[in-house]
Amino acid sequence: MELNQKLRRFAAGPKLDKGLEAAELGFANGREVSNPFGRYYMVEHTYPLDSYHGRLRLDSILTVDWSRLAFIAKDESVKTLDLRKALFLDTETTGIAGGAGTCAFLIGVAFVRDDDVVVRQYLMRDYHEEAAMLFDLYRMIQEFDAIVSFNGKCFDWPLLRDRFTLARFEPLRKNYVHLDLLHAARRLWRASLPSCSLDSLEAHVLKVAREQDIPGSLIPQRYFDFLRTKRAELLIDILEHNRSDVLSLVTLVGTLDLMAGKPAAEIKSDSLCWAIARLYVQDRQWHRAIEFLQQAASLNQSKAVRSAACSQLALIYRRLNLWDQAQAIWLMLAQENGDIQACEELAKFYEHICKDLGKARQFAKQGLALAMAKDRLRAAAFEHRLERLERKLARQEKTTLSVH
Amino acid sequence: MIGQVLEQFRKSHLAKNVTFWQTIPEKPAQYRPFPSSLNPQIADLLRDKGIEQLYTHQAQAFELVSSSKDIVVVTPTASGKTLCYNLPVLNHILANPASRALYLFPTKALAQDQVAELMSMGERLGHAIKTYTYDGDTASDARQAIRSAGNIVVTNPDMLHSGILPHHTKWMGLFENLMYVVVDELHIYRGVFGSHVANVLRRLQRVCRFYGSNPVFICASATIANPGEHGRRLIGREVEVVDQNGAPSGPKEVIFYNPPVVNQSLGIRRSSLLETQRIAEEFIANKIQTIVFTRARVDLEVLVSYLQRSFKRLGDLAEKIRGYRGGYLPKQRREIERDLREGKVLGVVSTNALELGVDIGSLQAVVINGYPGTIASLWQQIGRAGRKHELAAAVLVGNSSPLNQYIITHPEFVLGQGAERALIDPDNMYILLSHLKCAAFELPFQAGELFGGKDVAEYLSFLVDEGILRFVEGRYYWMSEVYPANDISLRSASSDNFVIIDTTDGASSVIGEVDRFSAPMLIHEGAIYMHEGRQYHVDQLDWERQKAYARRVKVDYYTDANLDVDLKVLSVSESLQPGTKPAAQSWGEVLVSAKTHLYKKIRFYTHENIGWGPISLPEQEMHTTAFWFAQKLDLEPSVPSEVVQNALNGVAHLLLNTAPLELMCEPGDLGVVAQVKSPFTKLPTIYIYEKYPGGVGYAKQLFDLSRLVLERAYQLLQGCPCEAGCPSCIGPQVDIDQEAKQYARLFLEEALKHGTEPEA
Repeated sequence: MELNQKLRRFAAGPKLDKGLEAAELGFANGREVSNPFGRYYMVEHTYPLDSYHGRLRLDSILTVDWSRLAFIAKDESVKTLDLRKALFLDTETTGIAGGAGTCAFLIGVAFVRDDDVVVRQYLMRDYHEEAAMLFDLYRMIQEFDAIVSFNGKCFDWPLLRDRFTLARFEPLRKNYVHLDLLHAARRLWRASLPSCSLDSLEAHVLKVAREQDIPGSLIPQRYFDFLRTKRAELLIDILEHNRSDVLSLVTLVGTLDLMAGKPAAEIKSDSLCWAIARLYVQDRQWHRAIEFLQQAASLNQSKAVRSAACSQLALIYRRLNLWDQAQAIWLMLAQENGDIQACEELAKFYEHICKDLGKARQFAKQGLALAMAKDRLRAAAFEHRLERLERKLARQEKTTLSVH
Repeated sequence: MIGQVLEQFRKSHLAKNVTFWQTIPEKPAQYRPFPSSLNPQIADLLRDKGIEQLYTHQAQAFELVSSSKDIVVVTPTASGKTLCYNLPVLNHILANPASRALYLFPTKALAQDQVAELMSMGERLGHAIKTYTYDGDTASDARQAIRSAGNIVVTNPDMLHSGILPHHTKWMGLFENLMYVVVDELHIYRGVFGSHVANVLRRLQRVCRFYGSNPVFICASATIANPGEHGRRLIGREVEVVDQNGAPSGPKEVIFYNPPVVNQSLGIRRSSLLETQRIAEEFIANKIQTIVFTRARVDLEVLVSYLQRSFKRLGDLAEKIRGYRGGYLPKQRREIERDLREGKVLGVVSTNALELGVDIGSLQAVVINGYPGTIASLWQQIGRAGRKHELAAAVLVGNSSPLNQYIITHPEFVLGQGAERALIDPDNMYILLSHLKCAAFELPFQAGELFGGKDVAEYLSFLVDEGILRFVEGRYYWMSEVYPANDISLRSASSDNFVIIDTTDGASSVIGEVDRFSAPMLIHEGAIYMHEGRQYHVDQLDWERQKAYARRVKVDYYTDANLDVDLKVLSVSESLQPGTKPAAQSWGEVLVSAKTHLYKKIRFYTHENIGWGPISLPEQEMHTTAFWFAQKLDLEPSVPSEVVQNALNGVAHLLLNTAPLELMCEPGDLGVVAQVKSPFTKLPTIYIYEKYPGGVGYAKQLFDLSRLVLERAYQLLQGCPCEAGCPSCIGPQVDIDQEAKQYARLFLEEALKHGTEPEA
């Protein structure tokens, strides 16, 4: 039996059309480019800085305070970012599995030139064009010092470096500043948005309208379909999708900067307010943190955020030795919410700071009663605390008696 | 001391059960001085360890590798094998610090041992050489350092296949500077597993070529009949064989022991486990350090507890008995190994985990419960006994399987031919196709590019038609979102195994795997699945998701499903008629289809049928290769065909169990079908087929060695003392019909008589 017959019996499937050999794309602002590695296709659009993408104008990028971005991104090196040397980058790939068999067939980059934002898209019209496409990208990247991406630290950037290796280019030597907006966005919107994907941010935060957009998960298959058929229209919405993504990176930076620059009173969402407060807490900027925590609590939108913000506030007051404020919050939490932590803090406070053993015992008892049902470990700690308090109280009584 | 124990044994009533006793004389060491090109730092390190010169095979390996020859070193256990590869590798790295080596071991445990050894050597060489393990347990933050900095990366073929090669760009530093690839325990890479590994090594070499390196392969193997051929097929290059062992060995007594028959008519022998225990006890009680090998984990645990219990009565010896197997934690294993070397442990019961290159020093006595499956393993296990000059003993205790009975009563087989051939077929269509996908994922194929020296254009264009590859401008590109290595397992016979999940008391842990073909028989709903001696009732079989849910039960029956196997010959590859070969026989491609209709519940001991249930699962089909032979039987017409069927089934059973002797495979790798009148040959015919789709070469090997295979089966049948068939020959006969054994014998006799001597 012939091998081919055997193979076919092993997995019979429909034969697919080979399609046309050459693709006549003819996209607006598109052209074929050639270099020593061959040919590929490039599309370049320019957007005046005063045009809108979503609800923000592109020129919002010009006034960004990069140390604020560094603060949100938790990356000191972002402070030194120079906009004119920054490349906004997003790739469309043949899959998300990673490994040497996954490649980026479309790479969109944006940068500021004069009064415009330029979006340049490198497209390979078939696999053999990859090296030529990568070569021009590789040369261009070397003219920049910073990369701005969305999840690029884990995905796009290592993928591109792998592709450069496969094309046998010298490894990039420069240490690029890399602002990955996914991590920054997560810190701000994790609690208030259903998802922190770029799609979700565009819909809820950037207000970018997308008509007839192709979902990201369908892009690889769509590209394979294009390869088989060479029908140019199959690529149109992928290119648009990619352009919109790259522009969204620009306005996302602007939005993050705006958010980080607002005073607490202007923030109208408690979970966003809480998220910003957390950043200040982590950065040990206590007074800014108090401002945002108070706002989060007073917005009074969700009980969970309110009590988390109050607990955090009390902890900061304790740290700053502002005992009256701390005590007031704990009392409120213990009474209103039956908060175990607050009971513990109060028991500690009355025992060690106020030396009021009776009150300490009262809150230890309350805490124990609350913890019994929920938290065995905590309950044991309360039991231990109560025993000690009882001993101290007994001793105190004895002393009092003997004095009399 | 051991001399006295053996003398007593020779005089005792047990001696009559000994089927073979031979003294292997002492062998002196053969040395060569350190090679002049050996780095003085390494020479000093060796001297510190008390090594003043090399054994001849170590020196030979060093010279060959130093002149860039690919080699296979074949040496027995504890002959200083690791130096054969460590010396040339370390020597080169000291001189060229940027160069790197990749070590492959079949298991993680072995890899860890090697890393410990290499690290300590690296430290003594002034921290110049960094060794790392890279496997599934490696922390993700450590991976980066290993990729860029490890001089020696130690891993296993599975990790190379799914973790390293598909991400080769991240390993550029390794591949660009790769000077050596060490493949240890080469004999483990046989059959389906070996065929996969051969393809992984083809991919490795392809990636190396991309980065401009061409590493030297240093392979090491236990004794097999065809080390050169096996090495060449596995790595796809010519190899030099180094098999003149220069290591010394003390005198050794090798004893085969067959447990006595306790029931003549059913052919039941005393349990080999209990006999093993008895013999091991004798050694240990006399303070002789002993290792007991047993195949099944459950036997291991039972033996450990039996031995500990008997020694409790004798005082403090119980603590000196330990078990050792793969499932133990690494730390625990290291501790046992150390205690063995230091003599703190007197008796250890092990699965074949200790057969491989784990350093435990040498022990004085080895007791082996049951033939370990291959002669190579047997010699590895025997090799665990033996110190440089003292007398040592190795006792093989046979069990009642046909294979064991053949070995135990035909010791010349073990000693005569030495070892079996390791077989692989890297070009098995299914395996090759799987790895071509992985290879195309890793790097595009060029038109006309060979893979392992083979023209694969037809495969590639098939993958193009399937829409997985795209052919453009003379290259084949991967055009799929899939990461192919994830779907291909090197270990399991078939890539889609069923798992058995224990749901007892709300738990859900995987306790075992069954291949797709056997699933309808073993894990249908209502089946009693046996695992480590425990019974599980299968409550649900999820065919789509390939999962069976079972819970622990204690019942007095087992289940037996009838698998109706039908076999159709698709094409004949080679065929011979009577006169040139015994009987008419062929090998070729077949379609095996199997369906189970019902299962029976059978009570233990009485074997009465106490119920049945239906099985409704889809019929399964598999294309594979088979060997078959047909023999006309002149019988009275009055002989009922059921009797003939029973007889043929008996012969099939016998062949299924003895054929692995020649093939270095497990009985589970093969299946048999016996047909009283085959639609293809029109004669009584027995088919032996391979259970892996497409086959890996066993069918052809059976065809080539058919006379030997049939003769062995016949000898075993003749020598079996049972009356009407027993587990040791044609299998237990439920209806004791005296004639089955008789007709089975006749069938084999006729088959052998009608042939002349096999062709030269």
